[in-house]
Amino acid sequence: MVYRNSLRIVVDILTIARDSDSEKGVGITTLLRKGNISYSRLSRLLKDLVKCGLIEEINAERGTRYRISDQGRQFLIAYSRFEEFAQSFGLRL
Amino acid sequence: MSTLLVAEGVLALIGAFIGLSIGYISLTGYREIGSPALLRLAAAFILLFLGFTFEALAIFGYVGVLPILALATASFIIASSFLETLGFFFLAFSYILNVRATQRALAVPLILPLSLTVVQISAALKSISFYLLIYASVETAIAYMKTRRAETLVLSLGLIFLALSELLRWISYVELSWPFWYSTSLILKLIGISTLVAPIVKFASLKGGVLRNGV
Repeated sequence: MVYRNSLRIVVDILTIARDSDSEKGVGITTLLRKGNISYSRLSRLLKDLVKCGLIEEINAERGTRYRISDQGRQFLIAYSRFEEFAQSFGLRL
Repeated sequence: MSTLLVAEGVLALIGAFIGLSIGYISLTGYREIGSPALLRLAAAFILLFLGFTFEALAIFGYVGVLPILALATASFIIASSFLETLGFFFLAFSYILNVRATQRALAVPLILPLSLTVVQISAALKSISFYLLIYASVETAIAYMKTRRAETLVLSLGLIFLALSELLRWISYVELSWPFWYSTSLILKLIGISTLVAPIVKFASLKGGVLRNGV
């Protein structure tokens, strides 16, 4: 099993949000299931990601949904670039 | 003798430039995504940049290219050996944290008697650098087995060349036929430093690819 650090978890959550419906966003249940993370940790993480501007919160009829922001997309692009760079050294981010 | 020294000085400047480039890319990465692994890599290569710069200054001061630095040659030699060893330590430390197996870290003698001469201190630091480089190259080789990336293999071989270069440099301090060991050490160092360009080239090509594809 591969150990996931905090940065990897953030990237996983942002990737799930990016790959979901870009208009409606993604619900917390999907994030929990696909992100393989506990509810309390995800809640804290989403709060931080919204505060940083990487994810946008949408208040829908059936509860809060989350959508990746442009800044979040830029973050994922930067991550993939630097992940390749670190892997050249045989390192994981 | 002086030709070899000037060659080593030029090689140190090339190493400093490559170290600065990798350090800058890593630091930019740390600022953009906040990865501690990139911060450690940045620390390693910025220290190597400083170490190589001091080495070049020491050599150019000694051979008279920069006569103003001649008096400080001994200080520059010790500073460069210390900074390079510290840089290699940070590089090895990155791998130690990466594999989460601190028990695999090599035990290195870090306590140096104060009565040592410049050459002895420099030789002791070079022997430590050798251990650290061997460790880093072994970890890079293990990473290559998993990822099968060509640039990782190139880097692993490069680190082995740098380690052998440090070993031969150390031998050249004590051997009578030192010009042979010294020049071989310089050739190995040149090959080792050249391989460090691989991640920079990969990063530059990837940047263009990412912008074209938009991911």
